[in-house]
Amino acid sequence: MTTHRAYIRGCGVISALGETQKEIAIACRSGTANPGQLRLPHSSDHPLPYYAIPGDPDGLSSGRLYQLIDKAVDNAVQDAALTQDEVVNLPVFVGSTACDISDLESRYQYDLRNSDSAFPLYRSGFGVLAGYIIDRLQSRGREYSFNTACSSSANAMLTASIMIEHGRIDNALVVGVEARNQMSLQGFNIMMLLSPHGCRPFDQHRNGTVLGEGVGAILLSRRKPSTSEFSDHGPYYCARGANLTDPENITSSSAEMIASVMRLALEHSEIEPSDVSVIKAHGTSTPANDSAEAQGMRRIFGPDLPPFTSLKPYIGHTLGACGVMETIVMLACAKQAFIPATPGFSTPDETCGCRPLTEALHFAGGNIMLNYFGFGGNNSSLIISNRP
Amino acid sequence: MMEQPLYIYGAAAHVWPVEEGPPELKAQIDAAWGKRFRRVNHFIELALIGAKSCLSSPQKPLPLDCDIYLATEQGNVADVAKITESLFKRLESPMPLEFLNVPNNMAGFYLAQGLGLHSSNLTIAHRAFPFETALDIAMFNITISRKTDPRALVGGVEECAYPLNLHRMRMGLAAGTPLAEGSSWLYIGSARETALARCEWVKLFHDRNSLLAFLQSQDLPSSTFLSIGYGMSESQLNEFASILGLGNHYDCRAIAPYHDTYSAYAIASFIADKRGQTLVHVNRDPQDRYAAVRISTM
Repeated sequence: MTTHRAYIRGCGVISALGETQKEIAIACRSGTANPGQLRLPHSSDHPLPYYAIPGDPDGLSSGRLYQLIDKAVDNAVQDAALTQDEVVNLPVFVGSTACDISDLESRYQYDLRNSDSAFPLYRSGFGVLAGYIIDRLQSRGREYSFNTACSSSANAMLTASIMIEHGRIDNALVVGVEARNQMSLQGFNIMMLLSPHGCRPFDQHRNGTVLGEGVGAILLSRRKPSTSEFSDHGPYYCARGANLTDPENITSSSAEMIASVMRLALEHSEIEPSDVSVIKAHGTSTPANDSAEAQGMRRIFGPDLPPFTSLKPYIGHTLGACGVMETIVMLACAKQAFIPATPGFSTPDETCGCRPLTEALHFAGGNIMLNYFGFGGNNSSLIISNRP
Repeated sequence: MMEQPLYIYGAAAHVWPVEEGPPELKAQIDAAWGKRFRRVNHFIELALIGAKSCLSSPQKPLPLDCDIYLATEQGNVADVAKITESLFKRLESPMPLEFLNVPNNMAGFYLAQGLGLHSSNLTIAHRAFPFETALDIAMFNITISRKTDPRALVGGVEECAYPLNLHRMRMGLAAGTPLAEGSSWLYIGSARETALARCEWVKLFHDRNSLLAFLQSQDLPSSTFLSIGYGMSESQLNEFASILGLGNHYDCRAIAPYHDTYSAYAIASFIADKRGQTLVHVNRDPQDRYAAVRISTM
C-alpha cells in the first residue's frame, strides 16, 4: 500500500547550460540551442555539434569525471539541506550508459604514451560510480547501479521513488552520469545517428541527434520540502511510472510499445491522459525515433496532444544520464513557471503529425509526463506532479 | 514495509572455468533455443544459455509479462576492452553491430525477444553484491506488484576479457586466481504452487555484528547449510558456523572459480541439489559489509 510520496527535495547539476537550476532556466527561457563543436579524432569528417560542459576543451583532464560527480552530488545534498544523519544512511542510485569509460579512456591514452605495457581498462566494473559516491559520502546506505542504455537514470529514479513510496527508504540520491568519451561518440557516429547540423526534434528536416555530457543528482525524500522556493507551486514529487521493453526493435521502439509504457505509467500513477498537463518527450531528433514517439503519444492522447517539448536541443542527448538531467531541466523551468519551447522545430512532419512547443508556455503546475527510451527497446515513462 | 517470501520455480547454475579463451556456446544455444540468434556477442550468449536452461522444465509456464533482472558487474567487458583498444591503439572506429551490443541491457533485450516477453527489463550492477542486489529489487517489486501472479527471471551473468592476466589486474585479483564465466538464473514469483524453493529474505548489513545479530535472531535449523561468497575467508566461514551452531557447509568454489555473480551460482546450485533443506549464503565486500540470502528448498 502506498503511504508516502517521493518528493524532489534537492537537485545538483553540471551541464552544458551551467551548474545551477537558475542558469538552466534562463538559458531555456531564451528558446535557443547553442551547441559547441567537436571534431572526432582520426576523422576527416567535419566537426560535429556537441554539448560539452564548459571549462575543459578536450574533456580529458585527469579525474574530471569524479570532479563532475562530486560537484553535482554536493550541490544536491546542499540543496536538499540533508542532515548528517540523513547523509550517513543515504542510499545511492546511479544510472549511466558509459559509466567511467571517460576516465578509463583517459588513463589508457596516457599509458599508451608512457608505457610499453599499456592495456585497455585498467579496472572494470559497472558498480564503480555508485560505490564511489557511497564511499565519498561515508554513507552506510545501499548502492544501486542501473545500465539500461538511455533509460538508465530514469529507471534509477523510478526504483528509488517506489522504494520511498512504500516506506522502504526515507531518502534516495539518484545520480545520472554521462561524461564525454570516444566510445559513445564514435559508436553513434558510425551508426549514422549524429546530426551534422543540430538537433531538430519532430521537425521534417531532422537528421540525427546531438550528444551531450552532464551529471545530474536528484535528492528524493519522503520529507516534504519547503514550498517557499517554488513560489506559488507546491513541491514536486514522483508520482510513479513504468518500464517496459520492446522485444522487437533494438534501436527504435515501435509506436505501439511506446504507447504501452505511457499507458502503464498513467495506470500506475492513477491518472487519466486528460490529467497530463505537459509532456517532456524523449525527442532524440532521429527520423525513426521521433516518428514512433509521436505516433505513440497520439495513440494515448489522441490527435490533440498535450503541450510537449524536447530538451535535447538545450543540453544534447546525455544518454544514460538523460533521465535525471532532463528531469532537472524540466523542474528548473517549471519552478520559474514555464515550459521551454523546442528549438530547431519549424516544419511539421507528416509522419509525426504533431508540433512541439515553439514558444515557452506559461506553466502553473500539474502532472508532467517524462519519457525516456533506450537502445535494447528499454522504455520508461515517469510522471512527476505538484498536485496535492 | 515487510517483504513477503517469494517462491522459486526454476533454477539453473552454469559455470565455465576459463584459461585460454571463452567457451564456445553457439551449438548449445542453437540446441536449447531451437533457433539461431544472429549478431549477438559472447555476453549475450551467456545470458541466453543460462536463462533458457532455467526455464527448461518449469512447473509454471512463463507469462508474457514476466520481468527480467540481469545482474552483472563486469557486463560486456570483453567488447568494451576490444573497442577501447581499437579506438586508441589502432585508431579504428567500432563496427556498428559491435557498438550496438555494448550496452549491458542488450542481453536482456535478446532474452525478451527470444521468450516473447513484454515486460520490465533491468540490468543491475554492484561492486560486491550484484546478484543479491538484483534479487532484492526483484523481490521488492514482486511484493508491491499489482499483478495477480507476478513473476521474474533473475540472473547473474559474467564474462571474462582475455588474456586473463590482464583481466585479473582489472578486477584487483591476485595473479593466477582461477576465473570462470557464469550464467545462473532463478525463475521466481509470489505463488507457492509448484515451487522448488522459497527465498525467505535478502538482506544487506553494514557490518559483521549486525549480520550476526540478525542471523542469531532467525532461529535457523541446525541442519542449515552455510555458504560463503568469494569475499569471505575460510576462517570467517568457520567462525560464523561456530557462532551460529551450523555444521553443514555448502561450497561450490572448487567447481565454480571466481566470477562476480558467484552467489547466483551457489544459490541456484543448492536449489538443484538439495530437497527439504535450508541455505544461508553470505558474502562480504572489502569495506566489511555483508549480504545474506536465505533459501529453503521444498
